Amino acid sequence: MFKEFKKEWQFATRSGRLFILIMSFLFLALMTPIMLKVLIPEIFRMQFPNLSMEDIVLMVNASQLTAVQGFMSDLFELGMIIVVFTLCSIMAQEIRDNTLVFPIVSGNKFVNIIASKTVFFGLTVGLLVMGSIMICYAYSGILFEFEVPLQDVLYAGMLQGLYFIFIIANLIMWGALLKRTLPTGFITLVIAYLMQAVGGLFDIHAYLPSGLIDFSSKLQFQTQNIMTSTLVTVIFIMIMFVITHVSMKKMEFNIR
Amino acid sequence: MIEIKNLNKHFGQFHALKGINLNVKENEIYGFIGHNGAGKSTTMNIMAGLSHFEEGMCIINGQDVKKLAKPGDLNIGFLPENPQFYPWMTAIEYLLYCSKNPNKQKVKEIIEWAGLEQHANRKIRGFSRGMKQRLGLAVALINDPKLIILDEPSSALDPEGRSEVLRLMVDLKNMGKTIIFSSHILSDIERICDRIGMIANGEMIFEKTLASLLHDNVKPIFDIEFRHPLITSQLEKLGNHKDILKVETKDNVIMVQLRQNDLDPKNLLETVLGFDVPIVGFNLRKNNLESLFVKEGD
Repeated sequence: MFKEFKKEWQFATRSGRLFILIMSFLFLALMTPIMLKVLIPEIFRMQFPNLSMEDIVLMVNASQLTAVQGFMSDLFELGMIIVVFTLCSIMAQEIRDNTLVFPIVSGNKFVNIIASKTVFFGLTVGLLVMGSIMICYAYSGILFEFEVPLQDVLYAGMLQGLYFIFIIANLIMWGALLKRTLPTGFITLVIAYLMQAVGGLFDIHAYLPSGLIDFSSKLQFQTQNIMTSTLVTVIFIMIMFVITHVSMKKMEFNIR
Repeated sequence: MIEIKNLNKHFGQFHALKGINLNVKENEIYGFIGHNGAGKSTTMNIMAGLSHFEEGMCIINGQDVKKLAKPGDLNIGFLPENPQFYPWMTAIEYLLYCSKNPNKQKVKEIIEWAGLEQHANRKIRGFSRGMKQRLGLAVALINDPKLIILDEPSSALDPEGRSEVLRLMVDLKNMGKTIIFSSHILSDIERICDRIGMIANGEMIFEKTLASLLHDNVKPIFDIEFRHPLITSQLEKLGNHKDILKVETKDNVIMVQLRQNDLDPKNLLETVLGFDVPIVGFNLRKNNLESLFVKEGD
């Protein structure tokens, strides 16, 4: 199992994927507070020259809370697209390019291959999400003032991190089923956005993984709802893991 | 080592393997020949546990492929036709990754055996086709398997690369390994194989030793060169000879094919000496697999 993790680490670092993810998350984490503090007020001032600076500040409603919430919203919209299209190849391309042939014949277990991808990329993206939320929290605290409790932000980061592990599990499962990178990315995005829309429309976020995003971005934590949503997400991840494993056991490799 | 009986495989409506029977004995090099699309790679994928089949039996190293938990349990070495590696790994890293018990000393020895010691720490993305093929052979050997399955290991290589790969295969046999390899380069098969199996359109045509194959299937041909062309009556006499199957002429050269392998060419020689035309050359053409392959393929 260790060699599988090492291989995924080598892939993530040497293919530049980890760098892309770190830079993207860092950019979003730093840009959101700057947008609220500098860019948006400046745009308002140019658009409405008659308004005073106090009115503009009131309109923008810039604070650490809005910065952190804005960043979490960006994470779901932009961050998700970046993660999905950076990592949509982790399973699909391996199957399509037949790079799994040697490892499989050499004795690597399907379950280890799937688990290492899920755990490595899930943890990596989860930690990046948490880290970038902390960076946004700290930077917006410096730019405005520290008003949001740190534990709330940590909690929100963990929930968002778990949601992104669910996204990674989707990429791995659809990659194994479709064996094509771009359709894997698109179908994962459709599922994520559709789940968010359905959860909001029928007020069932608590019973869907999208609840993790909804509750964390509002920084409102109702224990019951969060527990349900967390449990549902973990069950979804486990089901997808099993489907991926069954699909790989039935798969024909080294096909032209 | 390999026992395949009545193997059947479909790809949708296409019947790819039609009741294949194949046997490979311990410590032999078995050549698996056939045209492109005949079913060689499909059979080898099944042997490696990478592909499924609907009907029949496939026993590898005493294990039923259909009952495998995972392909790695077969403990074989496998080199696919187009070996694909992780291009961002070095040769050493890749061999360590594919090892069941990673051991740097053993990896170093195998890299030296494959002639890649100068490229051991280079990323695989910079490797030539020949280097990848040699690395593939090294990967096939890394877990010390008794049986090695090689799909077209020497195709797409230049003559020097082909010779090198064939030399490595003979090395493997001398190490006590059993090898089955497919190829459509028949001179390669002739050079190193103990036994040969031929497949066409998903059906096994034959399975024999090279010597018996040529003896049973290819009739001896003599090329006789005269100083002057033969006249019609002389050609007719040759054509009506009881030992001769076929006569063809080209300028001063007559190509004579005998009816049977074990016929004494003395009778033929006496007949042509009786023509009273000076003979410049009398040569037995070397039988090769090429002629048989073309015949069976037709």
